[in-house]
Amino acid sequence: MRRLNDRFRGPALWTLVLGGLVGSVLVTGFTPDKMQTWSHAGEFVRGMFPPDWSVLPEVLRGMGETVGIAFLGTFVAFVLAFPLAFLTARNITGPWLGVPLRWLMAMLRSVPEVLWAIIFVVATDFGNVPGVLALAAHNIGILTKLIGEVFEEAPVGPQEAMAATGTGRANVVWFGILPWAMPTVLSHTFFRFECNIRSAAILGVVGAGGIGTLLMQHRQLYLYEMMTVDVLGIIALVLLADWLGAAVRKQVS
Amino acid sequence: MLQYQGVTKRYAPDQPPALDGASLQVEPGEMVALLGPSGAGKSTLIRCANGLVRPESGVVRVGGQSVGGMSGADLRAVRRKVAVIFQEFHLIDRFSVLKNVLAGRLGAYPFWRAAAGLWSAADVAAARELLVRVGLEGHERKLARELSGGQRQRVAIARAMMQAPEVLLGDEPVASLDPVTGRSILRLIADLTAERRLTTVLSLHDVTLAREFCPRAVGVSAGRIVYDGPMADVTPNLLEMIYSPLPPTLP
Repeated sequence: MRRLNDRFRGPALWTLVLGGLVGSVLVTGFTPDKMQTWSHAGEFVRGMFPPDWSVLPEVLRGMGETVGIAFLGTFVAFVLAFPLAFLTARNITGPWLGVPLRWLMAMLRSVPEVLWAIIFVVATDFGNVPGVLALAAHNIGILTKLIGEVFEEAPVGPQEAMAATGTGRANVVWFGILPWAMPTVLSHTFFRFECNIRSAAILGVVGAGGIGTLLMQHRQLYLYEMMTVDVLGIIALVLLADWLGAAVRKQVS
Repeated sequence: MLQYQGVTKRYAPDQPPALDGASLQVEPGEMVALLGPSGAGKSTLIRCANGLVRPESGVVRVGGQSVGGMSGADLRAVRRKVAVIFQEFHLIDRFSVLKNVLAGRLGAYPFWRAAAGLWSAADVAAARELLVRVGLEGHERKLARELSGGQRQRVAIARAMMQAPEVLLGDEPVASLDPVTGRSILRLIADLTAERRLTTVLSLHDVTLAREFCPRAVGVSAGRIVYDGPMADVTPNLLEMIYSPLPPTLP
């Protein structure tokens, strides 16, 4: 888009912010006087304490399931996305195949994990299986794009050097692009695993397994003391994901 | 033998041609220096010889065989006879030195064998021998990125020799190296050219180095070959003509 004249950029920004504010209040009905709903919050928070630790073994199992869902979802996505990335990278595959595949991948990743989870829960059943499928579906689209773009950024020099040896296209890609791309490809994949642990933690809320399932059940039964443990478990998982991601990326880079 | 006949190449229709009717013939055992300013067409001339660049008219022949119009397996067969070394070496940084040299033989390997790393014992032995020849004995297992610039170019030369080429092309092969290292690399190339009867063409911007190793000079300016003759006859006046910013007129 063309850059606006400096004279108009200030007023344009103010119009956007003020217009956005007024429009959003009208649409959502969010006004300070609606804050009276906070009165329930005190009751809810009081209900959460003291935490009921008797549910801990279940929570730990839920956490394990969540990590498992995230791992399998990432794994399946990677196994499919890796070959697809070769077919969507503009410097490897022609537009006749690349363009339709890139569209398909854009569609896969434009559907959020939670929406995929709802679809797969309906299509299959409650539990961990639709969770894995949901993460896989969303992440095929993401990883294919990320990995394909790494391939596209590979320097042309080594590729030319390989082509100059008189070898075929497959060898040029395998030797000229892949060794350079692999660390970044793995780094992206582990980053998605990290994101998927976070996503998997809430997939249970729509019935797709893991610790979110407990959170949903305890909320529905007003077992707030147990919900505290669920929430702590989710926080622990997210911290674990952060730590794991940082550690792994340090190793591959 | 490497032969150009009236080779013209234009990268964009509204631009002056990168090569404008260039003709040149280089025989086995010769080591020719391409001299000329940046953008004169030296790289294009080199890249036309193995089909990395397709001329729009004219003929390029490698060992009597025309490269033009070739594609697929035929083009790859010609490329195997034409080895190229580059200013920035273009090694596979994360691979071992030995594997980088073996990559020169990729033309003889189908994908599944190369990807699985199933190099023949004869090729591994040849690669080791070449590493000894270029002075890198004992470095086989190091990663390419662990080497110095001069050592990397030696690996690239060993990789090029792994192709058992007839023609050796160098696109500014010593421009990224210090003068002492550059001289030792050119010494190696000159020796290999003599030993293996290679048809060697190098673009070199360091005229002093070029004088030392290349008996024949080819001056390129604005896509045309403006001088082709003994290096001994390259006078300061002639150099000024070759490197002049204006397209010179042929004498």
